[in-house]
Amino acid sequence: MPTRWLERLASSWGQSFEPRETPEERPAAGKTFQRLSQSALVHSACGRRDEAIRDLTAALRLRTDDAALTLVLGHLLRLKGQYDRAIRLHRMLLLRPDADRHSRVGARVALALDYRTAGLLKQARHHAEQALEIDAREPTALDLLARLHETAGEWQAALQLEERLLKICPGRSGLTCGFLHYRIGCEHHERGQTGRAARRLSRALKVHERVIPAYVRLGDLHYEASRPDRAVIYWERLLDCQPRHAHLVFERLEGAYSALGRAGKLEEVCRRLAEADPAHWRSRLYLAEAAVRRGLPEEAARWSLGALEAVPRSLAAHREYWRAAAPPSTLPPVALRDFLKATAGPGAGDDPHVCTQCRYRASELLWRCPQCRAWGSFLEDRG
Amino acid sequence: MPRSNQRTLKKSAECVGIGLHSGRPVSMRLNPAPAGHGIVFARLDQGGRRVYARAVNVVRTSFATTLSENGCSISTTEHLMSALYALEIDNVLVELDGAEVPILDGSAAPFIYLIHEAGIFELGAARPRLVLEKPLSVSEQGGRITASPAPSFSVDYSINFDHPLVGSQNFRGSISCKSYLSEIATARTFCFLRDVEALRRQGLALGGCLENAIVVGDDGILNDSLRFEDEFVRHKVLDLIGDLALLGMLFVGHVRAERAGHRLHTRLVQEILARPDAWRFEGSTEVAAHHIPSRPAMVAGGSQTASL
Repeated sequence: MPTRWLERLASSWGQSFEPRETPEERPAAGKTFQRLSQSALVHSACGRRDEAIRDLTAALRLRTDDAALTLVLGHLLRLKGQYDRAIRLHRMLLLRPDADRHSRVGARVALALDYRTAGLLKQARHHAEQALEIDAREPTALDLLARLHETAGEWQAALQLEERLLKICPGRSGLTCGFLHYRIGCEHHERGQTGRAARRLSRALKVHERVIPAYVRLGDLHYEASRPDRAVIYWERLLDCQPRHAHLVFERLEGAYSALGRAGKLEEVCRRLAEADPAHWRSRLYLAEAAVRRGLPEEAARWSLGALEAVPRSLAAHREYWRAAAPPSTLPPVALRDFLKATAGPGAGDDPHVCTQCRYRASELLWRCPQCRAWGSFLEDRG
Repeated sequence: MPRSNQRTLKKSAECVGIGLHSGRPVSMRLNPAPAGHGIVFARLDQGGRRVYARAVNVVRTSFATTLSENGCSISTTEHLMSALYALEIDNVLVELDGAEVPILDGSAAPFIYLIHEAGIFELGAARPRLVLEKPLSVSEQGGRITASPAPSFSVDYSINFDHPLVGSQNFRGSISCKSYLSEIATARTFCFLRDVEALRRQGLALGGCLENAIVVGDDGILNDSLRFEDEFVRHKVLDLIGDLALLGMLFVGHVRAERAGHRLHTRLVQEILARPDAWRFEGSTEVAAHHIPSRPAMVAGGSQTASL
């Protein structure tokens, strides 16, 4: 609620939210400072930004030294894309002779946000760094700078800032930090520095167990080094910690179990997953495929029907059901072949994953949303 | 009508932003340039090779306007061109270290800010103006643009998208520096969520995100809010102005556009330049000569008739 936000803001500036009014104050167009600022807040709360900007501008003509209202006006102008005015206001705050440490930090952060919103990264970085020069623990500046480093692909710098944020903000999730370790680990892996990569990826999982690709990549590292037994440890950990993402390692585990002389072990794993979770459709689908391979159509039909019941909108489940269950007497093989062909390939059954932060949809699981840049925010959306 | 002089920047302005398609940071510097220079892009990553902002150099118009000359190309030029046109900046050397003008926030507002930061400097030569005297039109695939004579530059733009959140929108008004700054400059580019992944699969729009575009989903926009209720059509006007800037001259006439895009915008520009009988020329010939190469030499500073 904007009013509370303003209260907090004003309080952080060491001011009372109660609008002051002095007898000598001249009303603008019949309105006093108090009325204008209150009316602006109401407009802002109702999403009428133009009206809020108008009233705040009038209010600040009456009392030019009100830092909190200046910041609110700057914020609204930024949202409207009026960067010229927002930046001018925030610079004026910065240059005020009576500006104390809090004021200067606030103005720097506001300028960094102005430039960041305008997409002017160099200037945004400069002001965020300047804010941190004054107050090294300023969380908005730290967060902003971390995101700017991410945008530039500077993962290490982003990680250092994110680690500082974790210490400062006790409630903050370590997920971003974990994913930054993962990104750095991937870079080491791509450069062939397997030892460093393994340490980074392990660190990612220590920071946050939901850094799912780190399990996969760690297993890959060991598998590439001809250590399938070690690879299996990480992939099985993924099954235990994040069973909904178990399918990411099904194919890998199948290969590794086979190399270890434990063929058939994955079926056992999938049965366990399917029993533990009625909605675990991917394990059922794997079991259906395995039954088809073993020439057991009835069992295949049963498993694929189970998958279909869990996710009735999944095209993959429909395909598997028809592949497993279609009796040749009622459905000519050519019709089945045509059905499978028509429902395969790009475009068929797209968009099963959705970003929980911004609702961006993708046909595959992404670890970072290309739309809102959130890490680990995708969920499978099967209705 | 008073004839104004050409303008450039007082000093250089620079920024680093994200390239819409590459998703990588791009450095851009706007430099002052002398009268008659025009708007010229220089690729620093290709030894300073230059691409002139002329209609003949348009090579691609899908999702953005791409200019290319001698194998060197620059894409997403329209928002910068639009801002330069609106602020009546005729001469700038735009240095880039990549193949794209940075997308910034998807509108022209950050470019306006950069130009204001650099300051505007008036040069000694008169600004060329193209005064339309006969109507012209181009159309294709349900879209149509008509340009007709008018005392000043005005636009009537209509869009009609098969989406409940966008639907039919219309913007009508005279385009001046003042109206552009208050009504057009901050309108952001937009895209439909259903198209985004397909673009990304093609390796396009890798830098596109909620910070530089309005993303329209099936049941709402993904961004926090719109800057105008009709921000979509306003952005189309912004794009139209950016593409008309490829004329290299101030345009005097009324443009009515229905369901148009970069392709039709640039086709209109090419049609205008190909039909010298439909317009009259006023002002310095230095810039104009670059844009109308087949035209005989014109008298500097004088008004020309289309019969030339």
